[in-house]
Amino acid sequence: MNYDKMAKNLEGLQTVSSAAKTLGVGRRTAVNYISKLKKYGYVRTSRGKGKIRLYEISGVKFVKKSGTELYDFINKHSPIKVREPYRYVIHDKITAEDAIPRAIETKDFRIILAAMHLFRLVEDWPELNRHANARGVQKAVGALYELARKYMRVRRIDKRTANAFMNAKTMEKFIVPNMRSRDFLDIEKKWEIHIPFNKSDMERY
Amino acid sequence: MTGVEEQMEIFKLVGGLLRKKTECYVIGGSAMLFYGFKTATKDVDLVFTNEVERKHFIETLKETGFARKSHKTLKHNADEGCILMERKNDRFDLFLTNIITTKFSHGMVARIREKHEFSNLIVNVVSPEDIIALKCATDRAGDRKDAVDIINSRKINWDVILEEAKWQAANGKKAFVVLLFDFVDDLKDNYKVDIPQDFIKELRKEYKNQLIKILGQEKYDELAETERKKKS
Repeated sequence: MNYDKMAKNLEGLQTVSSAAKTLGVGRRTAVNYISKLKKYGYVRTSRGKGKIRLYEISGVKFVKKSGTELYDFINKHSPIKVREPYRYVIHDKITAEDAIPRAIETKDFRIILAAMHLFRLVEDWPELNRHANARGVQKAVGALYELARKYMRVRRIDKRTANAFMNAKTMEKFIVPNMRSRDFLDIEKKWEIHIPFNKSDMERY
Repeated sequence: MTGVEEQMEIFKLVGGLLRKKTECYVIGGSAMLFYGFKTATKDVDLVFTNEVERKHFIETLKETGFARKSHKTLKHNADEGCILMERKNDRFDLFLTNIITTKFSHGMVARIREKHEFSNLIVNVVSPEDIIALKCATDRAGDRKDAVDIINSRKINWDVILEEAKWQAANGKKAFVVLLFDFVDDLKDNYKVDIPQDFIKELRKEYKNQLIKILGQEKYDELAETERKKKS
């Protein structure tokens, strides 16, 4: 069996059913083939909606890389999972304090929603402020922190950092372009920035 | 020759020394290292979109023992706009927006597949389609071999390459489509690469249009006539 050719044929995101259909074999056989491909390093596994197994299959063997992927870090710690738009590898130690401003910087609704859970892991608030300042997202971090406090157990922020977030100067009026909240107008007014989430979005927490 | 590990080590070292955030795009053989298509490359090709960042990067490279080399030291004809930095077996080719005669397009920026952050250095890896498109502008056999390796191990979106060629013809190198056609023809005939017929058909159409634009209708007809005679 030529597994190189098979990997190229199946390249992309597959489930057992889609792989079986592409190869024209039964589900049981497809599972066996995927298992072999995984053994040879062509497959990475993740879970999709309803805990279904998703197989990311590449035509060339996945290269083991040093560093941590931002989206892997979010997926590891958050109940809401995200699919990477592209591989984003950070070759330094990544912490929640670092990952939150990075997630906000993407301006992606789902990535920011998933990253909200990371506020639970924040221990060093000045460090969070430092990273947020470097990326110019202090107001957004402050507003999202306050929102996170409403839905999950998050440590209390120290006053100095809270003041730094509040007094930050930014031209950005939106966290996600043109998205504003219907339900958290009080937080939006306080922080002078539009939150992209409504109550229904936060229900998942 | 620079291997995967050495390349990573250099990026880590430079990233740690850089004082400001610097972003660049990795193309050619070094981009192939990131995808695992290759294990070593002769030079690391980086494209900067901003001269300040390139200067900053060069200064930092000098701190790590790299020295600027003149183009005369190279065997092949290098682009004058490209800056060469060398240290023992490692060489960096640093481009600014233009890669030899090809322009680094917005499409290439939008299609990046990997982003690596080494402290203050952000390295974006261009897509395999763009690696192939950039390789067609050169005439080296090694580049053709690299393109064959990519095509044989990845599903290539040929429409992306065609669109990029059209963009380059309109905004950068006028003869880009002609070069791409010759490149694809060579891959098909000499390397027996399987290339979709629809793509070749579309490319041939574009090739004809571009040749007419460059040569004019009369000269094109003459050229087509001589080609036909040669074949018969």
